[in-house]
Amino acid sequence: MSATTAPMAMDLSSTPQVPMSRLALVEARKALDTRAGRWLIVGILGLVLVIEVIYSFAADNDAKGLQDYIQIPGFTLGYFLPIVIIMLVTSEASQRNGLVTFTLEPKRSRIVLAKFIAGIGLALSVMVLAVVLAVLGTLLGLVTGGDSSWHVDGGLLFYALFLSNMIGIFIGFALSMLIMNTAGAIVAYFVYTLILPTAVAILSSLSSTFEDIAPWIEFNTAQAPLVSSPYSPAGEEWAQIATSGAIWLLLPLVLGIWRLLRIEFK
Amino acid sequence: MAQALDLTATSRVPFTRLVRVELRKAWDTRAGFWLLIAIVAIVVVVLGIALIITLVHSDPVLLDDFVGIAAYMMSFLLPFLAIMLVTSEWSQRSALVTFSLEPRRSRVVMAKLVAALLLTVINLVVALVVGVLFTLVCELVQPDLTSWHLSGGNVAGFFVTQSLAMVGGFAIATLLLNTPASIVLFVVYRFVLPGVFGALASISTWFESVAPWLDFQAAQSNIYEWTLSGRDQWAHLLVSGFLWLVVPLAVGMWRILRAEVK
Repeated sequence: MSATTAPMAMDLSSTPQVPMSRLALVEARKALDTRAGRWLIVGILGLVLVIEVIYSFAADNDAKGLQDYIQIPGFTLGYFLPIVIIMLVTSEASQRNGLVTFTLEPKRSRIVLAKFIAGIGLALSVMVLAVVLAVLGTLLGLVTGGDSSWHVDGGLLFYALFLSNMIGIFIGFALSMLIMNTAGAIVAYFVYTLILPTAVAILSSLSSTFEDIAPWIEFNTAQAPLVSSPYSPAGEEWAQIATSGAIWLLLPLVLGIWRLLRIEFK
Repeated sequence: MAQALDLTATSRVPFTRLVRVELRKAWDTRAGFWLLIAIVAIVVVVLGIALIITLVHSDPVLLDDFVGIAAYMMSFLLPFLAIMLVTSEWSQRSALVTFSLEPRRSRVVMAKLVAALLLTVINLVVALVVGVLFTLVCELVQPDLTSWHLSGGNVAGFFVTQSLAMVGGFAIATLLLNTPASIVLFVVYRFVLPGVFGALASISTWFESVAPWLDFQAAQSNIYEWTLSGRDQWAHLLVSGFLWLVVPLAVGMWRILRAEVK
């Protein structure tokens, strides 16, 4: 009579949820342990290294302080770190692993959060590595005859290296979730960081009124006080960062997350 | 007796048709189409704001200004189209078909190069048309302040530098055969390296004397203003151009003629 036994049901109610730390680790691994991600990070750090070595031999001896060396990764990272983040998101669609990712963890919002955590963690580690490289660069500066100074402006470290790169990373997140295509998101990112400021510069040269308005409506222009001496934005400049940031960062980020939570993966 | 297909009388694919096909690949694909839309949108928005500013301020304006801004804004994104012309054959796997229908790969590569240069011509023509349209609006609103002056040197300078940028993108694409990587490397090549060269030259007199021989983009600045003259400027252009254009293009061509298509 065993032919009519009730169908077996798999009881998952006592299986714990995948912990967030594991999701974040998986996402970090996707960024590092893939061909494109690994070569990009090697490329970024290699470029920083090459510039620092040339700088050590080319610069005047009194311009070889730690502060000078930290400016090199500050400038270089800004261009490329967001691309690591873009690939972290778009590869789910281009390499089609979104099918697996969202099957193993169907709560998409948790994946988004895990990607944010992984992205921020990666960015922080690259920044720490960049500072380590800057210290090594300063030592090389000593060897090549510089009178090295170990003084670093806290504003440079916090605003130019940390805050502006963090903003760049979130721009990368926003664009990649909106466009969901690696090449497309990278092109959009370069439009955002190269073409927009050029257009603003051309239009500002035509009209001083536009020049006054520009920092309120264009995010790159608003961020200029973060990355230029004396690295201490004033009240009005913060207001400009907040206003233009709402248009160019918050809005695309919200739309992007909304899209990632609904997009069909195939 | 076994039938044999006699193809000896079939004429080979004419080069013009190959070029036409490559041009169509540039705009009649999803990526190419949206890139072109983005280019046009950027030009229209920037010129639109410039037009409003000019009219509100009652500034004097030249045809030169509008054509210049339009061409400059277009020049950023157009090389990406040249890149995709090459890399999409690999990423979309159309190379399998392309090289079956025309097995002489060198003809296909030449057709792509000609298509990329034709895109530069189209870029220039569109910039001229858009410039004329915006100047016409100014002519109607403020005829006294509007001039139809157009400098031939600027047009020629733009055409030559933009063609070099297209070939530069093309060369990087043949080297990497991958769209995102080529785009990133092209941005480094065109926008990041000149900044690095400039920064290094400003802090070191030794590097400042070497930089003109290495910095291809800076060597082109005299073409842009159509003032290239003298043995030194030509020598800088040829040496840096050999380094950054001829070498990558030669290696890339060699690779594309041999790369396994799969």
